[in-house]
Amino acid sequence: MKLIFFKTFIIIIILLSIMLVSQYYLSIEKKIELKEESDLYMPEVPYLKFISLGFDGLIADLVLAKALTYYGNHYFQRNIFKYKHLKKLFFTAVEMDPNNKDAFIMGNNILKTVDPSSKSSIEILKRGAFYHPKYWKFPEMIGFNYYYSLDEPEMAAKYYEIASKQYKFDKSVVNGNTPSPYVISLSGKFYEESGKYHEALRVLKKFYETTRDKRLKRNFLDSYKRVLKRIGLRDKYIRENLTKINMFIKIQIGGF
Amino acid sequence: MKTKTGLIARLLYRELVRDKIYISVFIGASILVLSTIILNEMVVGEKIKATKDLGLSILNLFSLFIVLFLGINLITRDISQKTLYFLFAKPVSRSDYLKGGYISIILSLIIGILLLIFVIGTLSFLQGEIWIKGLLTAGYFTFLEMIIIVSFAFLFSVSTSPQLSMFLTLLVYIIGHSIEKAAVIVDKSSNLILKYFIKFIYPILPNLEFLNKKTSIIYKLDISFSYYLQSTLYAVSYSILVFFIAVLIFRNREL
Repeated sequence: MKLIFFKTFIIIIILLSIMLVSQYYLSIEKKIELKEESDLYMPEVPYLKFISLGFDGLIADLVLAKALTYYGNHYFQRNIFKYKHLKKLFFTAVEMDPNNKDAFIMGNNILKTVDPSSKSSIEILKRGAFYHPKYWKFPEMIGFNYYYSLDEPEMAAKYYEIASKQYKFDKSVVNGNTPSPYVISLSGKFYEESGKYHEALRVLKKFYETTRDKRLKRNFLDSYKRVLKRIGLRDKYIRENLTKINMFIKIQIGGF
Repeated sequence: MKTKTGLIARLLYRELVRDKIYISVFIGASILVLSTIILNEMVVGEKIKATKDLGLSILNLFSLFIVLFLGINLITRDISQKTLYFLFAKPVSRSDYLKGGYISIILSLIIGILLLIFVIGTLSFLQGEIWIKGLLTAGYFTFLEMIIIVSFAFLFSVSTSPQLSMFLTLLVYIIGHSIEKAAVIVDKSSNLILKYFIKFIYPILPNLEFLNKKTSIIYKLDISFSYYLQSTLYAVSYSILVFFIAVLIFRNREL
């Protein structure tokens, strides 16, 4: 009896050792495999929705978790892999569950670190704005990306203007879902910066006339005057240098 | 419950309880629900959303498990164990037996759903959210969905073998959830035969996506009273229709 028990014990020990050693080598093999970017077998969203059997929300959560772990796993090898599949993962997650606003914001923040031009971030935010037209943060973030990443103040101004349309001038309905007045100011400022003075005036005038807040009225009025002054200065400069400008144009045309 | 159907339902329900299905559902659901802790670790943002998503999916899948396991086993076991011979020797009609079986499964389903609601509700409560209304709504829509599946399970188990009926019932569930999206995909296709085929079978097959309100429940979107009414009418009428066909087949079947 004792001998049988001993034999069984020895067999268990041997099997356990084999299992542990093979497990160790398999884990090394797996690490070696990780040095190469594998393909991502992710169906397109309509087909994924087709096979999701109504569990779209859960699948969106899992894809989002996959996107985040993918980002984390590739962080230290980002120069080699360039996050090949990250954009697709985020877009799949948001299209599977467009109600999850956090996913759009997360996608914007992470894709911006991967693509400094912010084009992918703008793209994902535009999808967010499409699904949530009354949510001011998406156009505001798009405007921010256009201004700070792409250096396009005119586009930034347009999106800030869209965001500012959700501003509630009636203080009784103000809550976390309404933008701050800075969004309106920035819309005017960016129009001004891009040389679209009349657009800037239009925006500032509109909000000046709508708001009842005295402090805001004063701020809008100051901005309005500043833009007017800039228009005056520009026109004055044109008047004074008209001959020079005409000559410059002639030279340019002559050159061609 | 003193009618023949009521008595059979009570008898069959007792038999179903003996299968210890609730214990396995409770343990399985608890393990799966606890896996939300792992999922929550990976989710950034609103963590309760992942719990809700997983919870509602578990509610749906385990209800399907109850229906598949009990709905198909009930009739096929009675046929294979020859219990039906003894039963039909007494003044009990075949339709009485099927009706009793149907009621017993529905009863088991209701208790199973309530049990799952309790498990998921407890977990969301532990995560700091009291989520009763959403869970009850989800439970109601799952119930509606499952009564259609029960009818199909009965239809297939009275007309085919247990394995095949299990497969076909599962297929109905899959088709029911994907027919709407399939119709959208096929609509863009240039294959006219496929297009007309889908158009033809679309109104005949059950569209279970009508009863899938997970997104609305999770994001607390309004579900109108008329929607409740229409979906209830749809599910009840569809399941009665399929059940009626099952009864017709069972009446003419050689045991």
